[in-house]
Amino acid sequence: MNGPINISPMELAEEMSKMQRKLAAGIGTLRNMDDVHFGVTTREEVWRDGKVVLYRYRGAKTPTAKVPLLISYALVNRPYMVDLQEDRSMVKGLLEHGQDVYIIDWGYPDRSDRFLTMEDYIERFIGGAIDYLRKTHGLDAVNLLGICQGGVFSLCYAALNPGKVKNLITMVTPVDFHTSDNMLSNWNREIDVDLLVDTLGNIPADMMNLTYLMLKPWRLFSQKYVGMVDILDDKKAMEDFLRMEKWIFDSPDQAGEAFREFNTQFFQKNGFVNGGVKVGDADVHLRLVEMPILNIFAEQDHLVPPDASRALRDLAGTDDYTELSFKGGHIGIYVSSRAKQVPETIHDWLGKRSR
Amino acid sequence: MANSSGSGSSDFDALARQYWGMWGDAMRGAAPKSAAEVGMQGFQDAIKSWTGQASGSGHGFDNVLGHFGRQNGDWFAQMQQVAAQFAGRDNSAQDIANAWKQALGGAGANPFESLLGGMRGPGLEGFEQWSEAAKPYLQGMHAETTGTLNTPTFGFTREHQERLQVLAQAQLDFQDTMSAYNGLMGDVSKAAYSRFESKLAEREEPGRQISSARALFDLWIDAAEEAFAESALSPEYRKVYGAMVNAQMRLRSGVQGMAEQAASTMGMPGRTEIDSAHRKMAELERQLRRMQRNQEKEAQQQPVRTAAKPVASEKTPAAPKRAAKPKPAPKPASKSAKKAVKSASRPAAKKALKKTAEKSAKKTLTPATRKPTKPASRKR
Repeated sequence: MNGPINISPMELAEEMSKMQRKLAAGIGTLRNMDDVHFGVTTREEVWRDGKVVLYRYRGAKTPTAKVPLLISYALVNRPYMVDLQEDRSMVKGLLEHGQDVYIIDWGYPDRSDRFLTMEDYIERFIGGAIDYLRKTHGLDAVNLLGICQGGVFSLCYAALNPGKVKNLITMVTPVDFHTSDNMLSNWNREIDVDLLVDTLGNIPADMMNLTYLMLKPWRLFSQKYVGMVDILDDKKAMEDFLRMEKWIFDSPDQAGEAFREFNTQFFQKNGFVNGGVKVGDADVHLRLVEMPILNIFAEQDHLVPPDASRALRDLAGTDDYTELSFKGGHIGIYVSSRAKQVPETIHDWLGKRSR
Repeated sequence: MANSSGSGSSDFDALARQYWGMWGDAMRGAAPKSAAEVGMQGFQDAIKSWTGQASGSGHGFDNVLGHFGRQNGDWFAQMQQVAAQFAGRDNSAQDIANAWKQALGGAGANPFESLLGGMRGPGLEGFEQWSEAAKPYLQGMHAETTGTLNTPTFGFTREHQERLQVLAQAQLDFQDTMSAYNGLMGDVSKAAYSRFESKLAEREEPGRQISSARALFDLWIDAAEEAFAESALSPEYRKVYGAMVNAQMRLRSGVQGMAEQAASTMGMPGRTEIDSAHRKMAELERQLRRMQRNQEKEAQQQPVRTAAKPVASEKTPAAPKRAAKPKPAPKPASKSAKKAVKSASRPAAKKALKKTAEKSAKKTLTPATRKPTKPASRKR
């Protein structure tokens, strides 16, 4: 046959028939599936401030690292992505290497949290958690790992409290918000953030979800579910799929004032690059981030383009700067088959700086 | 038709067999109907039946079905119909692209508007959804203000009339901006068709040809995403999207204002009042923390002072003793602090707040004044 399509009627009929078989098998798969769990590693609450909780992860062996590692995740999704399932857990990887891992869980802000500011998130919550760790471990400074928006917060914290952060790791963290390939930033630039926050109060999670799906609307809202039919007869693959779906749509509302500050200072004014970032009354200058930095970014990241992260190299004040360019996307960095290199790299990098 | 309470998948099987059987026969030329005549309805019925069978299975799958069943089957089914038109015969990129365009509604079809408008379901809230939810209210308002948008208001209801006029204008503005956005999506749809045709043309040579309906569908997805990305990164999109969001916020704000006005008339608190209370609480909490921090700093400096003045240290023997007692994880939002915040609305609140803050500050302060001890696990 000439032309782009070379399919016989029989082949097409067989393709349809295969789809029918997959759909039919799917009903059986779904009925025999176990409950989908996430967050596989044992953790214990060690500190709390309001809805914000600091957890310590407990691995199979006692940590060998002398300095604890605090993970600060983004506000826009739940932090269990770093410990999603048994065979896809960055936390597990870090614990196996002997790290002493803690994580801040921001909780689900409600209307009473509408007036939480960036200062609250950075100085009160991250600062409170770090002070707790410094106190209980008898250290002046701890290691901080900030992810995505949590990385931005971590950079702010490190700039304002350099003596309390021994080593800083940033993962898929935007620094230059105005790179030409940053879709999310482009969409934010003409939005009247004050009007948005004054109208909505907290920013509804469902609206945030829609925004993220709209970044790749056909792939994320159509192709993905058509593709799901292929795995309907595979129990394990379906469990993984559902776990990921659960995480994608399990989003907290965003505290209005913090959202206002974050969007204005970063998405609109590109504050790290252009200056003018403020946390409370304090000015944030990345030049004051002088501790060692490991900057990890994903090459196919549609949310935080690699160039947005790479900008840290020139803006941070440190002389000890390392980059890890990960072949994958914003989520693949935790859950893909290549993701195992991430905890290993973090551990090795920290190890060299613990002496 | 199937239902979710059925014991097996027999309903779906029967329906699907019927649909795909007819489809297969049409493909083989053994049935009087063509594949196109077997049509979308059969596929939709089969998917609907399957969705009914699969729902209620737990594990969060119902949410997935909420997204899957909305329209995804339709897009793919339509592509299957297009593939069927060209199966077993010569074809061209232009013919296929045109057939796809026809399948989606012809020359003016705007699949992006359809896709984005249909992006709803569990965990999703689009701009159109809010408009639909507010429709009854807005319709009532619209009827009240029709034809009086620009007329001067007067009488004892003039403020109410003014608010309605502002709201009606906001609704019109939102509709305009929504139309502009959908118009832009129309342009993106055209660009997507064009890219689709180009991509098809690249696959005309043997070895690169498309050998399944799914591959054809995936090619469309690539074309559509590329066209969308190009627009979504443009200054034009930024402007049009921003205008739409801002217009809806003005409309929402107007509706909320009207609702508050009504609530206030009936003596009920509105958003503004509740926000005001929350703002006060947040501010008080912040002030309290600042005071605690300052006291901590002072306390940290205290040992130096007491060392220099031994007499003074005798006067406060209790403090170091308390400080030596290990405390559990500090909770800055201690009960006493919360009490202080609560009582702040009462008379003499400032005084009470100061006292309670000092008290609670000492509590959280104590662990800081002692030398931190290492946990047991570190003594290796």
